[in-house]
Amino acid sequence: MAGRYSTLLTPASVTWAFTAVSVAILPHSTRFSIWLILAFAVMGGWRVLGAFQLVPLPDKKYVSIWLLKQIFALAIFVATYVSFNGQLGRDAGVAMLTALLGLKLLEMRAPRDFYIVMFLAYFLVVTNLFYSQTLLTAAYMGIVVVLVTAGLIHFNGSQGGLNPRDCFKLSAQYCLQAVPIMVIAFILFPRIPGPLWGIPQNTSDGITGLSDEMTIGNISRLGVSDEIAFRVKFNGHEPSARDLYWRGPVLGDTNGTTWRGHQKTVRQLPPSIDHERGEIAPEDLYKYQIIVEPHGEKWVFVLDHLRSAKPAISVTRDHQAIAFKPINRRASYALTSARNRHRETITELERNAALSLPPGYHPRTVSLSEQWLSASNSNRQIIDEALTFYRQQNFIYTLTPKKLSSDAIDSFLFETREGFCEYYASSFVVLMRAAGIPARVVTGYQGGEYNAMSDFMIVRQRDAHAWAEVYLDDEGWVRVDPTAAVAPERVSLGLSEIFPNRSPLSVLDADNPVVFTWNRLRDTWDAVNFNWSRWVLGYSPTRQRQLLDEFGLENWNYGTLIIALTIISAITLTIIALLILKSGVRKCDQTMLIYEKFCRKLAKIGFQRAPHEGPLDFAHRVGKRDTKIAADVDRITRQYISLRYTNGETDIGSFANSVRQFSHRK
Amino acid sequence: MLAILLFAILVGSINYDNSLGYMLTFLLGGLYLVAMLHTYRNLAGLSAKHIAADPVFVGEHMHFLVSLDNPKSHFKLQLKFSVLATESKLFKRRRVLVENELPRIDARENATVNLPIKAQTRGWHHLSRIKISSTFPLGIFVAWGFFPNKQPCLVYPKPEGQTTLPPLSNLTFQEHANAGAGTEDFRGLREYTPGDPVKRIAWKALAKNDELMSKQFGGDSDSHLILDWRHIDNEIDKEKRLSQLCLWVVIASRAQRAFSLCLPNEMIEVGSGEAHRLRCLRSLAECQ
Repeated sequence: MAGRYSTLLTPASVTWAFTAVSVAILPHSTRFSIWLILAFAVMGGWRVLGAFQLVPLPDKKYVSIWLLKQIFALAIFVATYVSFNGQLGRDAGVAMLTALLGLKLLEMRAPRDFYIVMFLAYFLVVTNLFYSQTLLTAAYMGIVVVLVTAGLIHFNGSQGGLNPRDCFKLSAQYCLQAVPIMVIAFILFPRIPGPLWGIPQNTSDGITGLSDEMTIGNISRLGVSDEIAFRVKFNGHEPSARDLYWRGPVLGDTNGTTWRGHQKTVRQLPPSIDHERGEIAPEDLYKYQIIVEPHGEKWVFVLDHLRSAKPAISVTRDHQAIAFKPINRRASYALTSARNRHRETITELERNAALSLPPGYHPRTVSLSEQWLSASNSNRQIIDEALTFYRQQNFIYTLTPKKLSSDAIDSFLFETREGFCEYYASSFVVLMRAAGIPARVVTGYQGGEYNAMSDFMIVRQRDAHAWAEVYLDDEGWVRVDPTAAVAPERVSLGLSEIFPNRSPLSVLDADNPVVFTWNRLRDTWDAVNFNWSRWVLGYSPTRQRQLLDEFGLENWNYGTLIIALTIISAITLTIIALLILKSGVRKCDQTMLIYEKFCRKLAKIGFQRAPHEGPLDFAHRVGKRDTKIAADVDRITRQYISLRYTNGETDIGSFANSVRQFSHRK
Repeated sequence: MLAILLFAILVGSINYDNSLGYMLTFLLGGLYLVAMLHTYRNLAGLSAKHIAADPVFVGEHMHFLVSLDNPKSHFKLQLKFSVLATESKLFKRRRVLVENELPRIDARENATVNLPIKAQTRGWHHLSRIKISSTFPLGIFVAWGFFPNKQPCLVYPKPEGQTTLPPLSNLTFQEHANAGAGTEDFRGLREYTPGDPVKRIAWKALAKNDELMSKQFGGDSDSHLILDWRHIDNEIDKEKRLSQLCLWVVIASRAQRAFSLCLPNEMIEVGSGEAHRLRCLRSLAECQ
């Protein structure tokens, strides 16, 4: 490469390149260290200022450019390696790309360098998509693509007098023309189930959700979060608010402070449950689709009792629905659940596990429970006794409970008596186990609110909940929610209704037009986002198969798909091509084309228009020789002149008609 | 490079199962296809209306002027013209003789581009076809086309040698004196032939008969030159001799003197004026 800076790289094009790359990097900036941003800005800024001849650019005169380049590149590599502790994952890759781009900007000399920089700017857009795929990201992606393309147009067209505005206009126009191809390819391009290599690293950081263990105090963190956990769309009838228990991790093991799931869980697929179901009336079945936000774990939240799932998920013995892969992107499942449980038996091992309590813990709780056991004659009675205890002993439902002393359960039940679902669920399970009733804690979500703008239900992180299940010999596992005993409205209304004043706007009247509009907007946005994730982000190999099946394309393979894609794209491209190439012909030219047609007709009957002959002269000559058509020729010529040279009222249609009829008469 | 970029994005999208990544891949793919069409459109419809080059002397530049007409309602940008040397071998890069650019032709306008090529030898120079290409809008595709050059350029010999005109040869002159055309004695009218000087047109006759006539003169004895090929030293190379004759033609014409030209296979009668000069120069250029 020449050591000279090409004159083709005008200050304007250098500025374009720097701006385009900066805008492409912008979404990453919060993830980068300040040093990286500084290094990039210094290198890019240097080149821009150099282009305007405000500062000297690195030159052969002073230092070997080649050596400088190697040193810089090495420095960037080492810095990235060190700051990411040798983990060359996605973050490190993006950081390194950014730094190298800064270097490339600085040493941009020839037009070829300019193109490389611009292409890498396109690539940077993709790296951003690995972090975020929201609608806003997509819009931003569109903006960057238009910007970079405009930069390329400017580089090629500025000499021809295109100003930046023209470039943006052309760029947007080209991108719009590309959209049909994009849509077709998006639908038809064979989706290959990824990943091709390795497991994408650090994709789940910053994702909130339930955890697979529970220490009293954990769920309160979620209690205040408005983030969406998942969305649900019911087909047909839906359960009442009281039955909206979305089952998540089941916690059966306790060491006295922390609850965990069973280590050994036997998995089975929902269909294997089906053989037990017998006849279920359709009104007892809930059919619904659930779209889970990424939470980095495998569990799927389902209503009791799961019957079938598409795509398949497995179900553990304790009725947890488990996906085959961690949910690192929005995932969609079509599910069916039955309202009624079926009676199931548990093994001796399971019974023992569901009864075990760590020895020596919660002495007061255990002794209370033993009192109830000796005084009652059925398990049902003991459960009622416990619920009555919660109801009558001034327990308070609060998200900010007082601090507990060393034995959390005893302290809660007999001292503070303040807490939220976790406190009630775990203490209730301890009470049950002490009384010899198998019990376990179930976590998940309870409730969900309807979006006014669409027909799906949103379950947010603040709807996280914990409840209990007890095993009754003649009924199987039965859900008991001790929280409902204390704060029934938590279950029937949801958390946001009980603690309304967390959002600043909620202090205002809900009928206030501002609040109303705000809620409307939020709901609309949710609806748009939902459809976005459902149709665009959730377009997976499975969905593609479903969609094509619906169109009656069965038994396709990648080969036929690629052929179909090629053919349809080619047809579309031809249409676009015709539109693009035809757009050069305007009304004025149409007039001329019609007139030329007229001249050809006259030529056929022996009147050739000479190149120098004006339309009027020509008409005059024809009229003199052939009086039969003189009037017609004269009329058509006048129409033509009025269309082409004046703003007369002549209609192009009638002109075309005259020319057409002229041929009929001959 | 572009293909690599698209492929990298596609592979990344597949690996991360990234729907938006797919979308971007296809958007860019579509964009490049559309850009290809626009690159083609940037040339589509152009017609080279006129290619002409005025005769020049060896050593000067032949200016091949190409007038391009854009009948479309869309401007054309960044048109690049180049002429390749004819002697080309397969797989070998053709030598570019000349390049020029036209930054813009507006809708329904025309523009002229000049392709100057240095004339190396005398005679008729046929340009190999002219290549027109454009990379607008994105610079990633090249659309190109050729148009033939129908009008060759005439190159006269380089005027060089002695600046002194040859002495008048009276004998030779008088033999031709009565027959030869001159500028002094009026001899009558003849039909106008293209090339006759304007000042000799018989305007009165034109007014009377509606026909163009030229006045004929004879006689101007003392300023009549004979530029003869044979009078130049035989030892000198043929091209040098033609150059010498060429120089004399230029000098004599500038001095507005009548002269005749004698070449190995052609004899041009005595005459003067622009048409005569051009005819002589042309004969010199074409001389075998």
